[in-house]
Amino acid sequence: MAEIALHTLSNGLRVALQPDPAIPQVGIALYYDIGSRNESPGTSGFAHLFEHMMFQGSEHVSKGDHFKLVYAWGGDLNGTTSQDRTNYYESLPSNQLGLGLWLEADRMRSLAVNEENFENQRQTVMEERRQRVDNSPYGEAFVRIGEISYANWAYAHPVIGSWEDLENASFDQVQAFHSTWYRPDNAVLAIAGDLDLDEAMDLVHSLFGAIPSGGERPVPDLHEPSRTVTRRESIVDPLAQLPALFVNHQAPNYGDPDFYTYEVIETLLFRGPSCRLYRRMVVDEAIAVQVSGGYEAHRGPSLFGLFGIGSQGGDLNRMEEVYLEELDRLCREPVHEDELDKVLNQLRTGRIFGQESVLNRALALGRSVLYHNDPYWEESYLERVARVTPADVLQVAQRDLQSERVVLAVEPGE
Amino acid sequence: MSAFPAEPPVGGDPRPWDFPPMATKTLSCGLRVAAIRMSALPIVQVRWSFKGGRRDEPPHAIGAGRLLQSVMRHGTQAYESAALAGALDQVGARLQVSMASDSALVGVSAITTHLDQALHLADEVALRPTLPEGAVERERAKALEVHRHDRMQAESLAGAWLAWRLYGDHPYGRPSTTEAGLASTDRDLLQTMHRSVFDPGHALVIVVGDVDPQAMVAKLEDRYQDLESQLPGNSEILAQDIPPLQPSATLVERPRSQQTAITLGMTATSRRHPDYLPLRLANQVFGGGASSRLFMELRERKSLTYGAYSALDCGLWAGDLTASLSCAGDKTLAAINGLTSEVQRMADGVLDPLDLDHARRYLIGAFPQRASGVAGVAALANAAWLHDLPPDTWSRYQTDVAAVSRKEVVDAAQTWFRPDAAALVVVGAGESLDAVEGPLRDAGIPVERTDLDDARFEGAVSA
Repeated sequence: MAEIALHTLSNGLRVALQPDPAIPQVGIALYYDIGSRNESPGTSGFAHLFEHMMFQGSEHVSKGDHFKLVYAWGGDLNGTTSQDRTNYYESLPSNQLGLGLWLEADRMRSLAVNEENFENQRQTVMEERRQRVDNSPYGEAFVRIGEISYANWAYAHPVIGSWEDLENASFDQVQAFHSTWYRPDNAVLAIAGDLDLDEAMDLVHSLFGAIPSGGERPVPDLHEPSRTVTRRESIVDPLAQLPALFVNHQAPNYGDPDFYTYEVIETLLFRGPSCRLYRRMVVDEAIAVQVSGGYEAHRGPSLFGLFGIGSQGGDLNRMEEVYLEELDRLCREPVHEDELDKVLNQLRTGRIFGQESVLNRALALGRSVLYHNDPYWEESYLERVARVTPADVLQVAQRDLQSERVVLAVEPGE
Repeated sequence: MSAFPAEPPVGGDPRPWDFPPMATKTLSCGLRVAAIRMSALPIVQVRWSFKGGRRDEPPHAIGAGRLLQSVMRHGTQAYESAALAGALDQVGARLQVSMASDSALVGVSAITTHLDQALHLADEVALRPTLPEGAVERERAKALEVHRHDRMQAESLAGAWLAWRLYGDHPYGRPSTTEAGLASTDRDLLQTMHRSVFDPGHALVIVVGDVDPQAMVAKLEDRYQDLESQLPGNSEILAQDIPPLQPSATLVERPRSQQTAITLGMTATSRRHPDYLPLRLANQVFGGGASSRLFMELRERKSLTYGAYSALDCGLWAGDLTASLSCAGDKTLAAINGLTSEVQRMADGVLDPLDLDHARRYLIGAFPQRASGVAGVAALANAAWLHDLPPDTWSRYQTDVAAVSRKEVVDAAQTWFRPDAAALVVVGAGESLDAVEGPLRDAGIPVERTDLDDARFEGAVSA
């Protein structure tokens, strides 16, 4: 296994470091334990809107300079928000590790924004919503399938937020949000690449060490009742040219021991040109032009599902039938060892190629610590997935994938 | 505890980095074989590249290239469709088949222990596909559906119109598919196109990854020494005329649009043109990233869009410089004005030395990242071969970027940023177009208003 160092600063910041001198680059990933699941009704989309505010200025970095300073060294950067967390990341030449850490530390300790910046980013996020949801085929359907797949609002509402809540979001909430959630004891800093462990930790101490930790933070209610009835809906999408089908089953979360079995099931059904659903739906029966989906694992309630785009005039009932037949097959027939070997090879290749980028490594390391409190979680992934047996697949499929489901049909039209 | 520093820590000198050396040899049939060592991870990419592509489609069969790249995945002399899929997945290999205007490629990525299988599978798909009739029909049906989908999407529609405005009937101006072209493509045509494009006489096979380059080249030489080319003596296709750039504004009405897609373009240099690097720097200042002028002005200052970027795409014969964004309908005029005023600034040679310094440092600093993976290195080596660039192009790249003068960048910007002749395409709801039509006409720009039924950009044959 690769060398990984994990430290916890006195203010609670967890720091994970993974040296790799292959190229003179470093990846920096800073995860905050705040996602859309922490929002409350009436504030949907605020965690993501706040992510935009983190690029609007801090005590020593003016609006726009975060981009300029990183790009000026050939670096790259961004931030993303999901239900489970918000992250910020940079890739930089390794001699600029200090710059990346200084930028992150400055905006953790001090957000310097104003109402004008807030309005600018509210408008930007509204454009993002138009682009990703309102003007995009199946965009509304992706929002709707989330809403009907969960009973718990924390995961049911879209990360981007509703129009009404975005319009009602107030600048007054910004500083309070920062001082509640953007504290070192609510964050994980991961660095991978061409670094010296001692020098990197000295930098981290000097830049993050004096940032005060936060107080109590509200804990989201993650309870999701078991689904007892199958729910069906259909919607008409004027931007879609082809019909589409979503089918979701409830599934265990990231930390569940069956996580790895789900990874195998996802690969069997959805990954690679020989996967079961692609061969049946797209190649053999030609009822779909595209099938995707799989395991949507979260830190809270999670899903296993299908998103298929049907052929012109395609029969969505037949798509659902084929999907359920393939789930049923998983419940009846043990997976042959050859097919399991194939799945392991696919997962192995994906994981190893994923390590080419030091930024990917930093992101995986940060996620491992935040979600699992285990810096070696990512490193042990392949070993754990290799332990999955045909009996495990049978048992999990019989337990979870014959249960009640949510079905959303999307028809093109006015 | 010391106070938080007001300035970032000063970094030391960057660690020296060199583009990895390449071993290479040209075989008697014209095939170039090459290998590059990248041993940080136990992985390899095998890549066949060909100097031919969608430009080789007959004019009545636009879409044949797209169809060919799909059907090639469905069987070879040694494997029928399901067996090929199974052989790839069994070793966790990933297959890439793609075709651009000037080039085509078949790539297989795998872990090093499966190198021989990766070589074998790449050969099979590149050189010995069976193009089965059933797969042709199935992929044609899929391609037609994707085509209809794309024709309704604002951004892809804007891109198709812009290419036609810039290049006319030149192959670079063609859309990737047309309904008529897909309908008239049959298996015979695909076989003919495969023979002309996927010929070893104008191909490169490169292996990048955890290999010994010299030994790998010897192995490739041994493997391919008996291959024969069926190409005629001179396989280079003559450059066709690219029409002179004319100012135009094409307003395409797309009912129920929640946003307007705006794209603006100008023809630019080929990859081998001396202005290439100066123009690359100018593009970086203009809209190449999130610190560039378009993003900062149109998003961060004016709240007009989620993102505004530009791209410089340089082919064998010509290139284009394009800028694109999407915005709410009521912001369309402001976004067009913002975009065109930034083009004008570039054309006027307004170039802050600090902006140029940032752009230069970006291209230099980002280069090792571009070359950090086997696919990235293979793509760079491929580009050098395709464009017939000097062998030391990538090892000199950072030095060459550093040597470009401010005057060269200003001159290139003034030559290639041409607001007086740019083509503008706007796709959106009728009321959004109403608001911009008058001002564009008042500015002296020839305006054409049209709708989704107008597909002249598909060319005369299928119009």
